[in-house]
Amino acid sequence: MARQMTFIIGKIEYTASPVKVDRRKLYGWTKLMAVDDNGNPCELLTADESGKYLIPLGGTGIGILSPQGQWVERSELKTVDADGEPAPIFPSSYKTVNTLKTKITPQEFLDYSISDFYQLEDIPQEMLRAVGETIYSFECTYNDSYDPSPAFIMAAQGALFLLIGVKNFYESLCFGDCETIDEDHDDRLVEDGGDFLDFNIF
Amino acid sequence: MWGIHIANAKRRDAEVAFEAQTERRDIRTVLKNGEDKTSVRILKSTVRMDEQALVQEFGDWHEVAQALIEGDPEIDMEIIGKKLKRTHRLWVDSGGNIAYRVNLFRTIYNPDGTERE
Repeated sequence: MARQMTFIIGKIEYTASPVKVDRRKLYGWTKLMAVDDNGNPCELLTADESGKYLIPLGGTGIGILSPQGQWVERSELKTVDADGEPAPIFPSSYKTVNTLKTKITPQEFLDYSISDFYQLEDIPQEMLRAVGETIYSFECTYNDSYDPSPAFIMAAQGALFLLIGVKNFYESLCFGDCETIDEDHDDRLVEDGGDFLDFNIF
Repeated sequence: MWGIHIANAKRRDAEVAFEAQTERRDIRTVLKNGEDKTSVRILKSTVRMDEQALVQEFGDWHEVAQALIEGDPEIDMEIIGKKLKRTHRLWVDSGGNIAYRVNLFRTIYNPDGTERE
């Protein structure tokens, strides 16, 4: 059974179970294959700076060093804000009550790129009516986190959905010869499409 | 950057590149004494240490298992932990040879798993 989240709309408390929506089951997916001139399949690897060592997927790791070059374990770090003060930690949205009071317009909603998409199951009809045509915004995090993500609750086709995303800055669009267009994003070459929505499938 | 083919209502179209600049909370992780940390990318393994290479070297999985019990054939102490600075992506064929030219094919699947024509 999916974990439950608790929401408050007005002064009424509701519980619901977010279930992730697999976009592959909605839109399909794409798979990229590379072959050489003989039709043999090829694999994308990484080479080090010298070109001497070929590194497979998972063959690298991230290490943390002090300014003196000494190895530091992640547990030895602390999280601070821009002023260097300890950053507040936000409890998991599954452990706390999420108050839905911030309403946003569809235009504001479009300023966000959505990264995760859930359907809220086991919802009472009263909650569906309470949300109505409103888009509610709140901060959501799966685990206790210093950096919760903006999330939205909205109704569509008689169901409630939870969408999690990131806010965008829209400065400019590039047109013409400004930078190389990466036809294939590196991560997608080795993870069959992952969770990215590939516009080429439309 | 992602490439996207867009058009307006008058069907004037163009291929443009776009990249969403996301807004992030201004928090960071530092050392306990407040000093900034440095993140480095390190080498964990190469293709000569992966499963296929070990099987080729020792003959079969039983021999590989025995070798792993007796020692650490999957680790090269001379290079493990090497800091990586600039790396390059490249295509390699099934024989481990660099492919200098590849042909890319994209297969589109429907939600039911069938290939789209």
